[in-house]
Amino acid sequence: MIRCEEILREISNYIDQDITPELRRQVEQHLGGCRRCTVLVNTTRKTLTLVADNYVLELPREVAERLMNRLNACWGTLFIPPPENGLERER
Amino acid sequence: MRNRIDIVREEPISIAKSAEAEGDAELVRRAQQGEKEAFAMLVCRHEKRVYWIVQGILQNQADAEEVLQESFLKALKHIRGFRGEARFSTWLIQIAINEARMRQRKYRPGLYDSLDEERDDPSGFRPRELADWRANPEEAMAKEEMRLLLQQAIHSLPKIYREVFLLRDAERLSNQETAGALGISISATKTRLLRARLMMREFLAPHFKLSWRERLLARVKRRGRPRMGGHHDPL
Repeated sequence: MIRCEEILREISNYIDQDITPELRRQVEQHLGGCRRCTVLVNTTRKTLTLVADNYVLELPREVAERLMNRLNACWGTLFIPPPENGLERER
Repeated sequence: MRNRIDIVREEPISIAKSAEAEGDAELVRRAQQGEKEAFAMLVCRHEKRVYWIVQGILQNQADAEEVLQESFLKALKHIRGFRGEARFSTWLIQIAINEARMRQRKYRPGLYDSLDEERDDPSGFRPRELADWRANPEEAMAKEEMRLLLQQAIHSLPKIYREVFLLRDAERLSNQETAGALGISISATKTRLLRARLMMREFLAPHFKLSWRERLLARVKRRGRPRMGGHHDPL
């Protein structure tokens, strides 16, 4: 029978479905009889759902504009154009 | 002649349509041939992601903006050398993380040293908050409040865990991509991710756990109404 320590170790892989079917079966068997581990799994899963649903951030418009301005200013000095005939020059 | 990158900024709607229609690989190919517009589309597509990853690592807006610019300048400089072995986004994130780390070392060594000393030791972590959460934590607070709380939670993580969490769970990179971007093994990625997730959970728990009254009600619901003196509670 798998122990609580092992559940703690595998919780992340279990949520990501990145464990073997046999280990998954053992984890689920343990969860069926252990309320503490069930709470741990469920609340960790909720944590990830909260992040996935709410960690949507915007880029400040002025930051985006300054980035593009800087790229515009540096394009000529930083970008190495390909050879005219499309072939790499032999070194 | 008008600059193509300027045109892109002036016509955001047409960018969005063409950017959606084209994959990164095609945009990279065109950018490698010198098409500014294609490079600008790559910038538009990835700037937000890069900014919030480095912001998450550095926790400083001015530094994050500098690193954002330096990362795209470096990508521009080396775009012709990009061979497409990894996805463009992974390559770009790798550049950004390296730039962020260099900035930490160069300008703020003292500030980050103690956080770098954190070691991968998930066995030492014991969850303290074991109370269940309400079914819908999002009902506990407004959207903006939630967003700020999550930012605080991510910022509370030590650097090595924060990096992994940002890439894996905020930006949804795979374990392999995260490992590649951070220059660590997949095994170390998983170990850090486990610790990061548990620490995030621990940080958020006080905000979402059930009150004693809700817990009592939940227990009653699970086990049935408690008996008083051997008799059923008439209520």
